[in-house]
Amino acid sequence: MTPELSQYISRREEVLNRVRTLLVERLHVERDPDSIDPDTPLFGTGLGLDSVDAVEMVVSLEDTFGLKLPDDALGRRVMRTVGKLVDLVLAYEKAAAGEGNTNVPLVLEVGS
Amino acid sequence: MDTAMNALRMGVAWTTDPPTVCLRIAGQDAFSTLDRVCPADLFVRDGQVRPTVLLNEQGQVFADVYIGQDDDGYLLISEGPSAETLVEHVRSHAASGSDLTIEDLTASHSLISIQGPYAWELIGEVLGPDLIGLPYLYFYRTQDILCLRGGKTGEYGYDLFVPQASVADFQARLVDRGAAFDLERVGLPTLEQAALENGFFNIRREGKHNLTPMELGILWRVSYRKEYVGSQALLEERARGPIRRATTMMSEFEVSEGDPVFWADVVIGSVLSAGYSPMANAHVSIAILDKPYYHAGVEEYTAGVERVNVTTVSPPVLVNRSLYINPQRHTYATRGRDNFPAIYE
Repeated sequence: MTPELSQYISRREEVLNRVRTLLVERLHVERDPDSIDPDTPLFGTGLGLDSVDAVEMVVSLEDTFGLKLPDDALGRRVMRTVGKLVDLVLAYEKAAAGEGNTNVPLVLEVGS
Repeated sequence: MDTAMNALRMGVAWTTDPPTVCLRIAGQDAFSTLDRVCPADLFVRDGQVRPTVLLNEQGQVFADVYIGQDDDGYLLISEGPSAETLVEHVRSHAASGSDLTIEDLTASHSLISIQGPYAWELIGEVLGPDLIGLPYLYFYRTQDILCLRGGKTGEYGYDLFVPQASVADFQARLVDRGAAFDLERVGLPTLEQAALENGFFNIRREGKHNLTPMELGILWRVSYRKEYVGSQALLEERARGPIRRATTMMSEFEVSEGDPVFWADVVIGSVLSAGYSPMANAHVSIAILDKPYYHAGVEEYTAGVERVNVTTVSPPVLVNRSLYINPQRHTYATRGRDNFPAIYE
């Protein structure tokens, strides 16, 4: 494995674990962090979050990762699975480091 | 398939697939028996269903199920095993002398499934406006039809169990009312491709490989806090930790089930399920990848003898139109005036 791939996977696992911990500790998801898979749906069938939880999740992501997410980060495009949240954090970090496109996936529509 | 998928993703589609078994289980020992069989907590509201799976003693998934409370009984709606196998599985785990009645509704009813961002509107036309407000993962009976709002496509979805005596009339009414929605009949390949694009577990594809919920990435469907068939195996697996996991991939070129997946020249897994997405104009697949390669966002893997470049992604790969449809504001007839985000970027 190249150092770059190893570094990416390590960072992704770190972010994933912190998102899992947020879900348990701040959104009171009644699961152990290690039983929250990346592809777990946030709403409905999966963790059963609601729109209030979505707001709390954005605040928690900002607090934990030092991000400043735009208001439209509540968009349904990203608030779908745990893995999508990890994608969001990593894309933001990449953009902040000047390596990525800040419009993807940070420009998000608020769903109806 | 493009026409069929277009109907499912942008309008309304109907189907009599996939093969689904619906059991109604009642009696004084219904709860204790299902609690022993079912890996998820059974505490749901009347009329509500919970998605879960059924496991063998090795903790391997063999059925994709919804379980729901239905007055004094339970509904077990399953894809995978036959009705006979399912009944035998439930009965084999009932205590001796149990008070248990199992009715196979699929022997007397036919499944008609309506899927698509405007499925709610057609449902309102054929079954009445009350059904439009049916919450996700709830069921309701009307006109002798059991209507479950669920679906595994990422769009509004309704599974209707229609008495066989009236199914021909119902289909005729559905097709008649559906003309205004450009209703298309679709088959299993379209449904399975939609499930693949949205990351819904498919018992006939990735689910046929004798994998555990941990390997399939569907631990949210099971509990570690109760005992059930397969629970001991899951606890032992948990203690060992994950060694591989199902991971969604996308590629410009085709990959096929069974293809090896490589990092450099190292085999890191194999493809479990694959298909072409006309909406994304790309190939979508699910591979079982070894730890630590099983993460999304990696562009450095290849698959198959042709060494097709693949990128691991977080599903869903589409921005489903249903996310933006509000039954109080939108209609199929006026869809041209609405401004929705692109379904794929």
